[in-house]
Amino acid sequence: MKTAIPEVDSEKCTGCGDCVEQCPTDAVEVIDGKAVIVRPGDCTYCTDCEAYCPAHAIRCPYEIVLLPAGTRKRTPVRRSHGKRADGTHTKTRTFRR
Amino acid sequence: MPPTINFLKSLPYFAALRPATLDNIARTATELSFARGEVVILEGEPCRGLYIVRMGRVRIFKSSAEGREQVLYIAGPGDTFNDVPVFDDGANPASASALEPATIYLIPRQTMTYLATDSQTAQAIIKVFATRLRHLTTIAEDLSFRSVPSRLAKLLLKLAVVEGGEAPIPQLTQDEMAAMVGSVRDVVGRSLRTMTGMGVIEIKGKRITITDPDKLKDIS
Repeated sequence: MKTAIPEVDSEKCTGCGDCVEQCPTDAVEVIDGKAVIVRPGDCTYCTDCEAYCPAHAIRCPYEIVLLPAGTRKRTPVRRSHGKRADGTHTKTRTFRR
Repeated sequence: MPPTINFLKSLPYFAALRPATLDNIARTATELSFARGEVVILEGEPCRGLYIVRMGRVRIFKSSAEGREQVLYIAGPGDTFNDVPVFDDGANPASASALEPATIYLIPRQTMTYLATDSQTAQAIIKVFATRLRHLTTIAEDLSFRSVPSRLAKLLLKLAVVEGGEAPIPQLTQDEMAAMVGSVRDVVGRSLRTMTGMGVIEIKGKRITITDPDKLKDIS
């Protein structure tokens, strides 16, 4: 997978530098009046720049993916195996569905 | 370019109409193009007509005075929007903006009100309105009875696709998710972190992977 970095709309960017101040890893700088992710390897995609950008020029979209069937985690389910004649329950086992 | 007769015929509103009538409708239509994020219509403005999406996806939403948004639905190819003011003569009830580059046809209000005099088309219009009403009832139910994590879980389950499949992978920012579940970014961020802690989803870089859909269904 490619390193994820925020998308900067240079038309909307006013070069105010709020993203530079907020970025916890110093991955962004303002160059020629526009925000640029200059150290993409340092970007952790924390989305702080998107949250603080007053011009809404930075977007951090998430891809929403479902694992293919068969590779998904299975939730353990506890099932009781019925009652005995005296009213007590038989052993409860944990199964995976 | 005007819409083709075949395209118009594929829409519920016009399915029962004759080719000659469809040809007349096509002549009154205007093709409009929008870039991603561009506003198509604004809530409260006078209605110009019915909009039909030819290509791309359009977000139909309401805005609060504080700038919060609630997405009512996403219109894709073949879907219509701004249907209500076409028939009640009022202002646009919601705003619309392009989620991605979009081509949209605008059918003038007068064309639609004239078509509504035909009983078969009127029935088709009622059907579209009934579907819309059902959808809005579900939104009202979700907003009234479900918590934000529950609404977010429902949204993730609805949108998620298996990688490599036919459907494109949806891409949404936290603000966009908030607008779709009637909440704010911070609450969506917290809910995503909680779900990660529960082992229901995994967030790596820009990817949210649903690792335990059964458990996510329990939350929704």
